[in-house]
Amino acid sequence: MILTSLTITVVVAFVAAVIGTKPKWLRWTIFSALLAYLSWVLWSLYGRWDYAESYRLFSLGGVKFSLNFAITKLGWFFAFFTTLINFVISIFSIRKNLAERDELGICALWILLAGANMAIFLAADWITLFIAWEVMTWTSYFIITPGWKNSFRAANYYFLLSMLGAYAMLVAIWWLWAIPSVHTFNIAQSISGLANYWSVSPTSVVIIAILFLLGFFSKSSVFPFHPWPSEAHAEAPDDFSPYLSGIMIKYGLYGVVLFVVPLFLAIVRSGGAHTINGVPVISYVLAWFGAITAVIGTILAIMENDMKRLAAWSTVANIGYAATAIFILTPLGLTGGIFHIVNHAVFKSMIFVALAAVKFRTHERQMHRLGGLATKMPITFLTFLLGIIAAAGIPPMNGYASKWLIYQALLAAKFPFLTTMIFIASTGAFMYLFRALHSIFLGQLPERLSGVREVPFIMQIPMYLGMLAMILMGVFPGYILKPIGGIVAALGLEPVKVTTTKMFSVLSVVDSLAVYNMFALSFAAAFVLYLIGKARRKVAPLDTYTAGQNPADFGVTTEMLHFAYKFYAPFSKMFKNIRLNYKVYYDDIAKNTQVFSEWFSGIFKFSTMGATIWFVGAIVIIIIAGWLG
Amino acid sequence: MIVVKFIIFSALSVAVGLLFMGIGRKYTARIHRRYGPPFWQSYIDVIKLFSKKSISHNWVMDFGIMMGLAGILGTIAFVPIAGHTVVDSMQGNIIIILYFMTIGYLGMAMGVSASGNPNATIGIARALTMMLGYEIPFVIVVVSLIFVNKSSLLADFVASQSGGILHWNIVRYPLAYIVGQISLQAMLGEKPFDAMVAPSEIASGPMVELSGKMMGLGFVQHAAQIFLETALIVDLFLGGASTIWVFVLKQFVVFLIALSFNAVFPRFRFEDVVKWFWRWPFAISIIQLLLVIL
Repeated sequence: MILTSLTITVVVAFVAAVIGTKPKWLRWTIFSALLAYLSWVLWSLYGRWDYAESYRLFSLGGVKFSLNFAITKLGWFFAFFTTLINFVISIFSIRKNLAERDELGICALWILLAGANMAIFLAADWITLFIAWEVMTWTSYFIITPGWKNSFRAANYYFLLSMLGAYAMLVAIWWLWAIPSVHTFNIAQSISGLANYWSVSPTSVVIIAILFLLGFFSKSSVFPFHPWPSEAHAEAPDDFSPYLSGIMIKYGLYGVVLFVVPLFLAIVRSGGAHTINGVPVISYVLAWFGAITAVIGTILAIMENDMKRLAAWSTVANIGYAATAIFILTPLGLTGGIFHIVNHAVFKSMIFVALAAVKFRTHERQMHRLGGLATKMPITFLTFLLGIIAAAGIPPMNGYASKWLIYQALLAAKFPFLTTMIFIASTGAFMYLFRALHSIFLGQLPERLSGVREVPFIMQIPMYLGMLAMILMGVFPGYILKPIGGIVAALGLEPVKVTTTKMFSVLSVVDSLAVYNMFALSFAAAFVLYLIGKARRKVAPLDTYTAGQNPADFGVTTEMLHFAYKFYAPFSKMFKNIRLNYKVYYDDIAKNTQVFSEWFSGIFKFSTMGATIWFVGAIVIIIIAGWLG
Repeated sequence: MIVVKFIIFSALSVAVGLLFMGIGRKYTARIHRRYGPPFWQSYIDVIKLFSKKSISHNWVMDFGIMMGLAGILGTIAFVPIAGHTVVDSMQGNIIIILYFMTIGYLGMAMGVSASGNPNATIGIARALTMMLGYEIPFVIVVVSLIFVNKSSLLADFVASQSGGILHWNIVRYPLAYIVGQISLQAMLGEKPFDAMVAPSEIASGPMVELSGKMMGLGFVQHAAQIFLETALIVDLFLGGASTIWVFVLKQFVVFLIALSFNAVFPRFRFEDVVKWFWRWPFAISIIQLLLVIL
């Protein structure tokens, strides 16, 4: 059933490509329909935890290659929610791509990517996972850069870091095969085998884990790989950014929960590792990597003026929260981390959808050139508002539930400094989120944007669905937390106690429905107070307090009165001597590599003499090696 | 039942907050050797404001101002006040309180910046920057108290301080109290941390575009905010109280300390506030945290 749906996906991708350039709506509707079908397939597979598929490919030098798929609780959870969210985003794409030129390739590749996405989560062995991983990497690379200049540069960061990670993973996979006591590609068996290998050689286990983590961290942009989202997420096609930022960045954390967490847990159970408060030292260090990612992402987001880059930095920060919680390895931490991954997928894709809607109408990305759009695009504004409330972790939207669990996990495991780091990042989140809200939707409407209208209804559908999801996931977190409890139980831990609306931790209890009721009640009270008193009078936007001067006398326009450029200038100045965006270092590496390769290729290009010397030199070395060997 | 309790607590908090504001004005005036308005002036102001005409720029402004008040009133429902809480099941979950409070801040910020006056937005930008300054030491203090009590419920904090003044956290953890009181000063926006209102620089910042009823709602919100934030300090450090009178008295003392500093200090630049908070209160809070966990 899994291979059938993957085959259907490939066929549909082919069909979408050969339809031709004319019926654009048809191509994207097929895409939506396919995603609806895939979601339905996954839904029908729920609960069949012994379901597996295996297909022999070929054997080479005694190594049997085969495609294996299995439904695990973890894999199903991720596969289902990512496909469903992708379906919601694709409704937006139907209308958005009517006016696009390069959409043919994007659509066909995105369909392949949706298949690869499913295969990554349902793969039962490393070879299948790696094939799907590679398909995911190159399809997304070409979607990010469909021949545009800026996005080509941006996508190269993404592609090179992904390549680095993928090769590290490949080395680790072969290493696993090479260890005699492991000698398998099966994921579950390799974990238990490697955990047993700990007593033989802890160093090689740690190195294998680090090689895998290089792959996972570069994919999830954990420190020090944090610069690429701000390039790639920002330059990608507007309707692909939600997918990129909401879903694709989570593959790394999925890999962590799939492989690294069970490995560490098994090692802790065998009792051979040094621990801090019950957490292995390496895992504690990795949790700090997450916390550093959260803080750096936040500070860089505060300094950003480009709205898509700001949202991308915010994604980096959120990955940091989730990574920190997951590496705590307690049931609370894992539950909070995985829940935050899902919540972030929902609210960040909605934030990016709202930004795509803004860009669809205004063709602007610099925030200071926007403003006052709330009255022109009310649905987009509400989506963005609910999105940032969720992202800031304010009840009763969905972000608060997972943030609460993350705090409980860190406090219960007695890590005060990690808690503080997460809190710093979380308070900083108010700064950049409000800045985006203000600069885009509040303040003065520039005159050249006075003709802007709300986006067409088809593009509003995903926004309605997203808003509903954000509220419901916040008020009834239990519906999502129960399957997560299954994942935690499958890891051999005691799941966190939850009911539909209540979450229990060691330190306290929270009742989401009570929080929501109180929210509604206090709003009603404020509304009653608002109704008291004389009716208000509406005035024009420019009719504000200007100390008695008439703005028209000075030629003041709405754009001049919109305070948005260099919003946090004094704050940014505080950090001007600290280099947080490692892009500079990566650029340096790129430049040096280029200089070196140009020198190297110059030898062949311009001088036959040089080439001859190299050739003769190489022959001599081979001959000498032959003698000695 | 919960609705009745909520209305009682909201009315109480607004009434007490307005009373504090009135007495505070008189108190500050006496320090400045002025005569000052009568202590019921704030009530008169609110009634007057609600009876005046007001202006609004768009629906987001109305919505934001309402959300601002709603956020603060909703948060008060979670705070244990003299042994009573509106939402009993939550028992004053401190993390929920800290996050619920931000609904109020966000609402007010959204409402005033929707007015389109740059002064208001500059005020908000300053307030948010300073928030990053004072929240960090405050949170470290809260975290250390959570560590001591092995609970993140305010009700448990209060229970652990019962039995006389020597059990209060102000005596047991004086450094934490100092940080809490300084953070309160910034939370209330009193001098030297009042760069976000700064009447002489940015025309009272967030309040610049509010008039009549809108200003009245803002006034009520500020009163409720005074009540909420002093109540947090009382619950965290002064052992709560068994009767409402004692509780309000303790709140008043906390508020007077903040006002006394307010009356004599000039204004800090807001980035200096952040730097100052990241230097001194942060260091004190870290020392307190190390004392607790070691």
